[in-house]
Amino acid sequence: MPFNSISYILFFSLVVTIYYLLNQNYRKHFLLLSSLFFVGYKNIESIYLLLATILFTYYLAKKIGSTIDIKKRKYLLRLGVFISISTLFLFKYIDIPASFGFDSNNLIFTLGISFYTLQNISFLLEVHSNRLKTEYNLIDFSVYSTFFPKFIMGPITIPQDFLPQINSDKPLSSNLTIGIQRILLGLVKKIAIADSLAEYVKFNFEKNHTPVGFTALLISYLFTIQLYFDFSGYSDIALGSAKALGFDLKENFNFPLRSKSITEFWRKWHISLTSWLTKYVFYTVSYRFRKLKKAAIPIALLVTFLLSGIWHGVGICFFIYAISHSLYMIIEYFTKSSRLEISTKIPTKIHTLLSIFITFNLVSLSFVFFRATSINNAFHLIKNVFSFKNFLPTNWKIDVFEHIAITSDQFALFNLFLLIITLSLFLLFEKKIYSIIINPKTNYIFIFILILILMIMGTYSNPEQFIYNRF
Amino acid sequence: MKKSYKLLLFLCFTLMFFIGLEKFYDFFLKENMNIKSSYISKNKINAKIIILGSCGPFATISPKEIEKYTHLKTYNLAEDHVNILENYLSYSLYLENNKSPEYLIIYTSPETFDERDNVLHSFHFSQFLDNPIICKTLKEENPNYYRWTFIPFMKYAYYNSKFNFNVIQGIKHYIKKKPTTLQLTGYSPIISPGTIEGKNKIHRITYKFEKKYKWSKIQEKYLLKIIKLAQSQNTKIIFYESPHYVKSNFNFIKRAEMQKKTKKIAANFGIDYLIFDTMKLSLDKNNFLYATAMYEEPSIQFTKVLSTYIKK
Repeated sequence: MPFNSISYILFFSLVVTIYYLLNQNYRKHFLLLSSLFFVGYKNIESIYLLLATILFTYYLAKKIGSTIDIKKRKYLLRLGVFISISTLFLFKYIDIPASFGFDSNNLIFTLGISFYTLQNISFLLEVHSNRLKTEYNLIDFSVYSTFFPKFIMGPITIPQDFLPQINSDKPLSSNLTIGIQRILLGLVKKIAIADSLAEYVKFNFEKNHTPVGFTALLISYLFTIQLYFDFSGYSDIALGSAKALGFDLKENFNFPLRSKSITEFWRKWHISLTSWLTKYVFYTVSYRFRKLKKAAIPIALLVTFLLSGIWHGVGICFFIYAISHSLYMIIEYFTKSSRLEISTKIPTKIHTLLSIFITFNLVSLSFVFFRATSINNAFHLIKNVFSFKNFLPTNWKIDVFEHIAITSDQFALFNLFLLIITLSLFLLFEKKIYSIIINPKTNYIFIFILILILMIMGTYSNPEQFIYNRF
Repeated sequence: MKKSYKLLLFLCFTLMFFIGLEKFYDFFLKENMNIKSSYISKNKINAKIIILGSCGPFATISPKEIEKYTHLKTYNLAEDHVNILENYLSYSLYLENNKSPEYLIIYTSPETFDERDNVLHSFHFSQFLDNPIICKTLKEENPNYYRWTFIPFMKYAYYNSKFNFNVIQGIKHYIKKKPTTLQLTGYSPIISPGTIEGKNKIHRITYKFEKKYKWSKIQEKYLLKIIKLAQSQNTKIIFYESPHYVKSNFNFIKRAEMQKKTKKIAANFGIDYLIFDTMKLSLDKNNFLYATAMYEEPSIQFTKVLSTYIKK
């Protein structure tokens, strides 16, 4: 049930209606049932697999919590982490369901495995370190583990943030307004912007029409923007759905395309994953290597990004993507003072714009590896970007716009311009848009504009999957 | 209470707005004279000869050339990227506003009946969903699209990238009250030889990647509908296949079988089926943009031959 489908809208409307009518005591049970339906509506096997994972993690966590012997606790934790990671490898990388005749793309359990594996691991780690103070039972844990708005693609939540919300009795009506406004915004970002961009990016990346120079650079920018609108659109729908049900999930994006450095970018992009990796990997590794003093941070960065790369998928492209970002961060770490010195000599506005420009370019170049169909495809595009001889087009209409728009038809060029104008407005007024969204007062004009954009620019005949569905 | 009243008012306004917007799109798409279906339903053409088919005849048959030899008013109703099913819809739409022609020349090359061409471009007819034939056909052949059309404006939102510009162009045509020349004869020649160069051209000429044909029952069904519709109005039908680059035949798997089936249909309904493969034009690859589409100059030579036949 993809978030950008009518079936999800119907399912969600039904869930919200019943949820509001129910007594507080039964709401969590209903949420669990709804989430299990969400996971198992296509194939019941997903529910069995999920229940097995839940029961295993829950009882292991209980066992860790009740054991006093430190060695035994450590042993149980390692067992839990090992089993969770093994399940992830079996289902995601080895694709074990395929050997039993299942299509992994239809097995919801497999689709969400990267995300809830991390959640289950964090649950075990929090219990092990005694940081989890909230009382919980099997139902609470199951709701935490299966909550449908975050099941397939996150945001990854840590138990302390989520468990206390399950039994809290918060007023719901203001949440509903914010939730619905946010879902609408997410749909606009995905259906009207990201999916329209997808057509241009797909053609220019995959059909041997790799452009040259400035056009190639523009295509890499467009993919960065597509990925942002696609994933942040998904996150808006997830957060909006959760909000309507009275839950606050962790924000996944904080205007990352305005970042002034790669370090800042990673504080603002896919925040839930970055926070998870920082908390459980980066801090652990840097602490382990603390004796190496200045080298500890670069090592920790390298390990963290490599793990992040593997989490996204195995393959040379993800490896290069991970390495490039760890290198960016290491360079930033060692040049911090000199960069600071430069910043004092340049007017603040120019420095800010320059920093945003450089960061956006570095990110876009690394995302080429994220999007490319093969390593050759990625290098081919990057080589074309750096063909300085023909960098600027001789004919902007033919070499840039018609190339990106795929044809020279007037209507294709018109659609491209309409899209560029819309996404520019969204990027420019992003902060303003979010301030309207989080306002519990219903803004009918804003809702109407969003519906209008959805109807005028949405892509319905050939909807695209969410990019992060494959991770 | 006040909030629910506001919400109800908002929902009513939104609904009314999109019903209005749908009517707006309906109107201005029908005013866009660059859209062939809009042009033929708005203007009285009343041609004596109608050419029907896909990109082949669209780019090959010049109505003016045919008129030169036959002295019969001719209109090219063929279109780029369409199949027989869409030809049936265009022809039905044409007959709603025009007299039935004396001759209906249908392009029936094996490529026309290939299953790969089964895609129905419903957006060519969205503004005509009030037409019972179009409505019934879209309901049968593209139910995925049809079921959305009950939601106000969704019949356009579903394929919206195809409409927004056309509506603006429709507004322009409405204000200027001057139809553009694009659809006056319905013909659009491939003017510039060498549009596709090098390797690409060779691939397209010889189809290095084999093209294996499979007979499409859907196209057959709608060809029969066209035949019945035309014959019920005493229109004489002619099937034809324009010259194609014969050296590419080795890669057209099952082409002959497809021709055989078309011949059988023609025979059943007493229709002449003309194949022009023996023309000299078929031997020179410089005459072709791709194996089944000729440039303007050789097209004119071929049209002369076709016209002579019609005249006879």
